[in-house]
Amino acid sequence: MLDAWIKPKIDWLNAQPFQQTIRYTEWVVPTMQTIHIIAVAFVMTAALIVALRGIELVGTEWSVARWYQRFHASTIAALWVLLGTGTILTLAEPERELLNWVFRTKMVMVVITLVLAHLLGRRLRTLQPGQKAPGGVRLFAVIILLCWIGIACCGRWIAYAG
Amino acid sequence: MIDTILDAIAALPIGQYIAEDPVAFPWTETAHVICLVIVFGSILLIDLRLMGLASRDYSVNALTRTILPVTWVAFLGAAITGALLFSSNPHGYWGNFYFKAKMCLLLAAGVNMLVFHFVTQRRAPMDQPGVLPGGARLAGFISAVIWIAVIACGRWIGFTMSPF
Repeated sequence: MLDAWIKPKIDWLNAQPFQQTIRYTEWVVPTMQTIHIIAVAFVMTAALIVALRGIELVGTEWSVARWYQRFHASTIAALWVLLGTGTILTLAEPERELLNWVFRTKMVMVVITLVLAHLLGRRLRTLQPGQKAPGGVRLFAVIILLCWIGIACCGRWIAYAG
Repeated sequence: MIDTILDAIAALPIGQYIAEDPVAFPWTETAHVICLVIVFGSILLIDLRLMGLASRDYSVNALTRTILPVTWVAFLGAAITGALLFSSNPHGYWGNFYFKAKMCLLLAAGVNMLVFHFVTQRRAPMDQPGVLPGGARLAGFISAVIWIAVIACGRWIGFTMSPF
């Protein structure tokens, strides 16, 4: 049913001159994918370091809250880049993405992960400087990292499944 | 000589398994991308610090002590999964311009790291917060550019050859 609703929109998109330009200009998709991956590196490294700091494996000179603060601006910027490049990639090959259950799973996971990351940020902002993060907060950071890994897996599998 | 080596790699059972199994290649590639993303992201964290663009109140020595173990574990993962992908189609990868460029860039990244470690890091004070001398900032900039090019070449490999 969802496919039947989406298909006419894809047909409309495929008929647009700008879509044809994006799709058939040889360098656009690989360049957008490269930028997309670089932005993923910003987001995933931030999640990894915060999670590893949470379980006290790295970066003990700074508190979890300070690490989170260190990565906040770059993560937000990277998320905007991901949105922009992801939109262009979807416009380039709409049927490959929008009719693909892996892509849909990825999008649902992105929304859930962003909500979880927002909640983690709110909780960390209530901590005093240098205060040790409670166990639940640290577990939350690890769950968010696992979510980003799941999203990255979905991203790669869009090319293979659907 | 090189053909003999590539033939031997192509005959390895693990390479044939990755080439023939419907999920082995995608999963190996997924693991490779995740490892490479973490290698790049963690190195970039240090590069930005060297360039004085981020974490200036964290000394380089403390930052490398805390981040480099993550980088090395991820690099080991990327090297293993990369070797597995290569074994699935050694002749194809070896004949690909972007694959060779990626290998050259990895070599250049290694040389840059060695120069930084054995020359720059010994000359400049790296155990204090603050902005670093020009040599350290240049090393950070070169490293960031090389790793961005590594990512780009990796993506272009996928667009210029079929996996097997």
